[in-house]
Amino acid sequence: MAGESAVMRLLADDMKRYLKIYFIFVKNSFQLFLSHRFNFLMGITANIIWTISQLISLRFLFDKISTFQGWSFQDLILLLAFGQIYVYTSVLIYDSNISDLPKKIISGAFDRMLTKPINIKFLSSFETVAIAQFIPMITTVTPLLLYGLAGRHSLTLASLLFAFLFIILGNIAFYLLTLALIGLTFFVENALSIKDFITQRTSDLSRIPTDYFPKAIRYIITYAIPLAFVTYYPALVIRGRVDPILPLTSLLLLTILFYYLGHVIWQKGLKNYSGVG
Amino acid sequence: MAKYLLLLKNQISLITTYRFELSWRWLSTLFEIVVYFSLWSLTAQGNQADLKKLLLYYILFFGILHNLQSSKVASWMGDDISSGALNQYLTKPINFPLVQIIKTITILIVRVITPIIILSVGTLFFPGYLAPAGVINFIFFLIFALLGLILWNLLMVIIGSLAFWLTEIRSLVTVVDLIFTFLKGAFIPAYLYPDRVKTLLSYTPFSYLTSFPTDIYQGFVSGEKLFSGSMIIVFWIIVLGFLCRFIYGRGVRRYEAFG
Repeated sequence: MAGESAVMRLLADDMKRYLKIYFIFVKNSFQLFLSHRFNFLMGITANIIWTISQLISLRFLFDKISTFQGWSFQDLILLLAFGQIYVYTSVLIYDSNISDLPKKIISGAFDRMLTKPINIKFLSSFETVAIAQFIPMITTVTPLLLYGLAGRHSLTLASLLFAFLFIILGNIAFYLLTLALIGLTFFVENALSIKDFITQRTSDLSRIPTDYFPKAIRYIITYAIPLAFVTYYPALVIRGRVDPILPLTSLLLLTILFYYLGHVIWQKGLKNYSGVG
Repeated sequence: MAKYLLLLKNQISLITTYRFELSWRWLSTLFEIVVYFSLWSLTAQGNQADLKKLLLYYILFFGILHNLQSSKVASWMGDDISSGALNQYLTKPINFPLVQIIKTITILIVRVITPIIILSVGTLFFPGYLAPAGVINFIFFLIFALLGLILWNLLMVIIGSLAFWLTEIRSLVTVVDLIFTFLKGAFIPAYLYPDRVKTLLSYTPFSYLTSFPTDIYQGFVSGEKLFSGSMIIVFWIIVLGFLCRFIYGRGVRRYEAFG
């Protein structure tokens, strides 16, 4: 019993320490954000323009058709909102750090990171926060989400909670997959392209309901790349078209699988790694 | 001229070294075609002619024309100007914007080779879906694709030259690229735009970047329209060419280098 509580205390201390470190990362990123205001402002504008262009496209599309295989304009906006949440969350929290890893290995910066008394996967993932993404995330996703949710008879607190759970767990699964894929950098030189393609380029497909695609693509964007779990399933839950328990269990198993995959790749990769800086 | 050809050769060997990355890019292009075709195919409501038109539009758009028009020229110009790497170009008898264009074009040519091969082979097997409307159409398609490429690069050199004043322009380039991509007809097929928008765009360079050559390939441009289109393109090439020289020249005069 005493041993168990000591372990818990150690874990809590570790958690507190990492939260403190993360707070410092956020603070540093905010200072950087302030010193490059014009660039960040343009970044925000780009994101807003992209969302508006997608909205115009959808509106235009629905002027020509009444329904997209049973999905209304409002449903597709909801799908777009969930897709945007995934894209912004990944870019805001970890994607730029993870994408920089191959460069850091080549420049020798990764060697310096290894000497720090912090978990290397944590440091490689969260060293900087893309503060500028936070503003467009709020300004573009909120209206899309509100519009997508407004006036739905099928909407209940339970369905909202389940949709939220899908998004949270799906984003964690995506992060773990991204981390696993970039870990391939230790073995092959093109890991960044693979990672970008699987975790970013495929997000284009999230704008279309998964059931529109042939079975093979449907399986790939659900079980190999958890895209359907962060966009399609939350939208289905909100529309009251699916029992969330089975897909949530699949997502949980997938998250665990990605965790172990990343763990093994990084462990072997770090053993394989020799500094070049 | 020989030095630019040498640069072209070096760039090609550099790019073909990264074959793996190229394959992922081709897959990305395929994804774009699938996504946008899937979205807009419903507007055809099963009409085979409309589906064919849409498929060919997106294959030509994303596979070739849009792939050839990258904002890298502006980004790289901006990087070299803000980092001071421009110094090494100014001290040599070479044209800095032209070097950036050649560097980009090489990447883009390598990038479109596979889509072109797929389109050519596909044309042999599915001529009804992929073949151009005629030999003349194909020749004019090539000519106008080239003119569109010139227009695009002139626009990019102007944006890239803004780095002399703004220093960091990467995000600005992203914004401009998005707007241009939208106006070119990526997110909505340009031929589906309302007539008023189409007429308005026909006086700007944007119509001639991708949608005009695509229309020519598919045989939707009459002789009269071809003539007026040519006049507008030539007008824009002259205007943008002068603007390029002016802004870049002013920028170089303003540029201060250390080291």
